[in-house]
Amino acid sequence: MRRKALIGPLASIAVGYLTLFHTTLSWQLSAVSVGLVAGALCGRTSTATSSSLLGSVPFLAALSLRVLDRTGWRLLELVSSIAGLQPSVVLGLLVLSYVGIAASSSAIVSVVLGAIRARKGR
Amino acid sequence: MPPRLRRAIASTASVLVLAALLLVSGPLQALHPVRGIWTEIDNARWAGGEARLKGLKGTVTVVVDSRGVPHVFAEDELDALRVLGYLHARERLWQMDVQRRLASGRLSELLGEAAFRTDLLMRVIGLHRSARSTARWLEQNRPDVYGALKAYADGVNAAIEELRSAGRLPMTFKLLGYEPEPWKVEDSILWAKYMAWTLTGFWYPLLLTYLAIKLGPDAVAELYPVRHYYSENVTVVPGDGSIAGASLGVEPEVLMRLDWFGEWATGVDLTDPELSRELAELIERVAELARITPSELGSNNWVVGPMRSATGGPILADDPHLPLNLPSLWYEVHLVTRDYNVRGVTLPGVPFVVIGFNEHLAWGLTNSQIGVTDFYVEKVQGDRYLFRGEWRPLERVVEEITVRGQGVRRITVNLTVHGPLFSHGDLHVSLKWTGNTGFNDDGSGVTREAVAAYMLMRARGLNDLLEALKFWDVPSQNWAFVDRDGNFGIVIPGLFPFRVVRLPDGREVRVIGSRSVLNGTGGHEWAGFVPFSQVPMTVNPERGYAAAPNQLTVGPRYPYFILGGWYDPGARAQRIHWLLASKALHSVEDFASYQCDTVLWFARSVTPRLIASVERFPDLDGRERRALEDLRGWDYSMSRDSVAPTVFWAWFSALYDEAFKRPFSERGVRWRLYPLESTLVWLINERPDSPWFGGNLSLAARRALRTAVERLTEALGPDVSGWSWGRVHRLRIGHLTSLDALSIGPLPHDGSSGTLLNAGFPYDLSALGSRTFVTTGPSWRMIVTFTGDRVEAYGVYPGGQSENPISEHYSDSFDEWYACRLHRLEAPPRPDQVIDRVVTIAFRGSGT
Repeated sequence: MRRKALIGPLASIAVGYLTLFHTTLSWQLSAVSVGLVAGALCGRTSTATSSSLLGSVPFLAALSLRVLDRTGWRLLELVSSIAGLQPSVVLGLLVLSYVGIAASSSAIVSVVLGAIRARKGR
Repeated sequence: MPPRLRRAIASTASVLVLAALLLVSGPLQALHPVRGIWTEIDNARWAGGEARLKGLKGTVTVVVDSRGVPHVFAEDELDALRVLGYLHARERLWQMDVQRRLASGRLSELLGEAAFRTDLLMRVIGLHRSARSTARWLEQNRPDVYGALKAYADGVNAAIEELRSAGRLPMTFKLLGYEPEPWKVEDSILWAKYMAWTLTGFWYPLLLTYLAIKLGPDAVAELYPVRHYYSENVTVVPGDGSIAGASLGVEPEVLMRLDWFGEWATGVDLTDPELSRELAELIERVAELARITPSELGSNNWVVGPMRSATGGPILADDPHLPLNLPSLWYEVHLVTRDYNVRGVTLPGVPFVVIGFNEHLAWGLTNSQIGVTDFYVEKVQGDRYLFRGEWRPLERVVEEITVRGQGVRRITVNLTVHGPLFSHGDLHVSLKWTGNTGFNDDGSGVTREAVAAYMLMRARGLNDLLEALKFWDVPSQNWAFVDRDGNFGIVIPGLFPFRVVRLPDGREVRVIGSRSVLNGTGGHEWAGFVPFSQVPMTVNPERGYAAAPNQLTVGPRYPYFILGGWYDPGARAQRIHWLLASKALHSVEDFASYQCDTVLWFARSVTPRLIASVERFPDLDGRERRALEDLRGWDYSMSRDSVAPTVFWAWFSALYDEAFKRPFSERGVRWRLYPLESTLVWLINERPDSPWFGGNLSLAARRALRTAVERLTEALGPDVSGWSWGRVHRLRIGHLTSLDALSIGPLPHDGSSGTLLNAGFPYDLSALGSRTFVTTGPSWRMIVTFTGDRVEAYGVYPGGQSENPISEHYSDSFDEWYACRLHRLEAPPRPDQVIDRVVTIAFRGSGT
């Protein structure tokens, strides 16, 4: 049972990593993929949401490495100045978007699958 | 709450959140942590070692120096050019793409409606059509040159493919959300055509027609003379212009007195009120579309021979004044093949050294300013036009312009034998420009400057230079040169179309260019181009020097009467002639100081006269007296820390308004088309009682001084000592996107439009307190001298080799340029001899 519970989170992390580093998908689609997998493999909505958060780790890790680098931060500053925003605001929006997209996708899938399962159960 | 309802609420909320986040995250698309803008960090680094490049026959060694300048060593020329294409794309891909979009009228695809008018104009002019024809002609007639362009294009495409597949396209592509198309041979030609158009596609015949309609031909003859005031003694080619065995056939004084707007000269009756009204309206519309403003572009070059050189060999200086942008217009390169060892600057997108030197020859360009554009009033009925008594069908070209967010718009361009039509109601005016007519004047647009540039890189001295320049069609340029044998001079090649004009007295004269629109039905056609044997040139002149800062080309007895053209007012020419003549021997250091000279030559004669004209007025207030005091002690240097240049500029600008604002406005001139500085100087010096000054220069100058001081007080505060020139005259080197974060400045800047340190700035008081900046100037400074077998060269441009804003070479040469310092330009024949090498890369072929 315990081993089964690990499948969702691990798969989410794997999908997060693969879609970011080994495909040409946009990061938004990467987040949706993470959410889909988490939602599909985890029975409960809360578990699915947690898995999707774990699936966001590759994104967060890669992003951290970029902005912790001085040149990377300078690039973020440049792009932010084009939008007239603070770099931290842009960074916050970016993180919130990835995590939010992953979490809401997982919630949708989980709810829909839950409803299907419930109907089948009846 | 029932579980079903809970699920429905959770599901709906999640869908809404997801939709909102996806919407918000769109603009953040480029921030992908792996393939987003961050890849610029990797792009900014040069990786040494081995690299693969498809199509190479041998190994090409590239040594990158501390300024990011590549030294390319290849046995085979095509290998070198293939690598050059790769390097251009690696460092300037987005710039190259935007440039070809600009030139071909495809900017709206990226920028939407904001760029539509620019695209519309470019589609009408049709540089892309001429570039296609030229590429085809080269493929069939000059496979060697075509092969060079093709190898270069292959190198560009290899870089595009490499960057695309690695997700490392420059950040500007990612921010704008698009990818570049493959590079074609015609794209290189297209950019060269665009440069030619910006340098010689003069609208002046239209503008002068407009002014003649509004002000009358006599006023135009006085304010915009065929040969500028104060220019006769400093022509590019010394002497009266006559060439052995050829003559003008008519006294130039007679030609100068004629009304060149008259129907006898143009076949167009500008006294017809209906026609002139429609023509003025059409010109206003074209001017609005083309955003025509009097050009502030120009350039300097000069040479001295061994007898006037402190190095013992000839010395050349060149600095083309062009728009200053980031990424920079130029890209420095050093190419060594079995055929040549050449160094200089290239235009990203074009595989040839445009300004530079090899082991035998150095060359530098300025614009010749000779008119090679004519405008014809066409007689059109339906889809036909009248030419030489025959109604011919209009050629129609349908152009599709994709406007971002708005779909495709189709426009139809109508062409006559002269070129594309601009229409307003029933009035149709065509544009005839040498870059579109082609070297056979057949309308094909085939021009051969690529052949000349190809030959030039391997030239071994003066004779080879002359052979190469026979193919230089557009833009006509003043080619200053020095060679290892001690030769020096200036050659002015190009397609100079002439017409045979019958004068009112029945005599005929060959005329280059026009000052007015011409009748297009066949009586005012080009009769040919000036043969190369008669193009203006000065080789090893006796006085030991020559200079060509865009002033009048030749003396008035040149066998062709140069009627069209738009020359510099001549202040820079006067100054450099004075500097070159005032010293027996000149050194490289002297040349460097001349390039940064800030003396405004015509201020020397005008300032004392203006001061004298107002100093006796008893109502001068304290600030006005203080301003005049500053001017009395002025050394005429437009130095950014001085107050006097500010006072002079503001006073001169206000005097411009005093003289011309009201009369021009009353006569319906709708935009600021004031005459050149040389005309105002001439009026001040020679016609103080001119009606333009209300009959009294003193009163006009007094009013102008009051206006100037009031405006300066308003803009810069009441303390005159704080009115330094650098507060008004500010330099901004803008990024091509105009984004401040990627631009340099504004910074206080020396010089002005009329100083050798050229810094384009209008005489217009509305510039005070506005975002009017210096945006043009010396885009590349170069000095080269040959001493014995040794070539010694220096150069700098205001930017850097890379378009990547986080590269250390994005703008690393700017400080040197701003401080008027030059880099030493090494050109060793072997890779191990490059002194400040940072990275060495060995490119090898990777199969087919």
